[in-house]
Amino acid sequence: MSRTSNTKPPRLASWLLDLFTPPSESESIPGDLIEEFPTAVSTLGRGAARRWYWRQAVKTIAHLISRELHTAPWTIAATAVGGYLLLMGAVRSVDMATGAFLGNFQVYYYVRPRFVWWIYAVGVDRVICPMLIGWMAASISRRTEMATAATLSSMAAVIGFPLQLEGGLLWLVYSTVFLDKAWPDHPTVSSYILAFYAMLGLLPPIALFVGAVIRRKSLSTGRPPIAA
Amino acid sequence: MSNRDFLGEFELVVLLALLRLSDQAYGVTVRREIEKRTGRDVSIGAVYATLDRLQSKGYVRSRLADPTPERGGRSKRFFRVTAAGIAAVNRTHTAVQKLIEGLDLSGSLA
Repeated sequence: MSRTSNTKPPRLASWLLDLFTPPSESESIPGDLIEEFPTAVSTLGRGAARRWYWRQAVKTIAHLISRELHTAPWTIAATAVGGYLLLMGAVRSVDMATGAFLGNFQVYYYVRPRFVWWIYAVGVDRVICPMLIGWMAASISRRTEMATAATLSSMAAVIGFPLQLEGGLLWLVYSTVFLDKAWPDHPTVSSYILAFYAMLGLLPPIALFVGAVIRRKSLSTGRPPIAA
Repeated sequence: MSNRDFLGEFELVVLLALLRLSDQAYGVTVRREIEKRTGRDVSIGAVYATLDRLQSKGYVRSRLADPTPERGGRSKRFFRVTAAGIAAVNRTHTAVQKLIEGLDLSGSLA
């Protein structure tokens, strides 16, 4: 391995650190860690130095989020709660509009129901709507956009994930208790359905965060690249 | 800032490190100085969070230097303690000394 690649810090950790560092400190904080990394490699070895860098990046991100939360707690809380309510409203509206559309035009006659479900229930409800709302929340809360994004995503995960998992559990109970008796030859509904529902529950928080990240990246311009 | 304002423990540690480093005080050197003198493994984030707080209280001021290649083209931010910062260190130190005075800290609780 070349000397240059040995002294390059982990890219993902650097990217995350860059993402959470406010523009006023985008020179000093990541620069300090980049400067220290070669020394850490020579004293600790490459593997331990990478772990050290990750630890430093994670702790620093936690400090930066905590500082933003202390700076504007009410703005962040209001934006996160408003964003979550907007998401609920948007999902419900999309569901109603899709239901009306499918009912009026008898789309199921032409297109497979599963295909339609993937488009609106996964694509629109769980990816596009949350991404747009994440983008909007980051736009509203300028300078504290990453703390807002973290709060909003955490809210969506804490509230939405158990609800989604509950849906999966109900499916599992329904299939094992009732479906087995009523329809012995039904296709197997295994515990994999729980994993699938868990994945569905994780999509909105991830999409919210990605939307905010896209907005954050569009706001930060003219920074030097992270690698030396 | 009120002259009754005392420093927190880590604020005092950071200010003392800045005073020791004089005009060479920036994130890396401050973190290393604290590690060397106290044996505490501190994150750069903790150092900057404290420096930011001290700066908003008027106890330190900072300036950005030129970018350097070993830092991926990023600049160092150098910090200096202000007169108000030195006064805060003295005030806190005096208060702690007064509290310690006359105490037996040899280890026995009785």
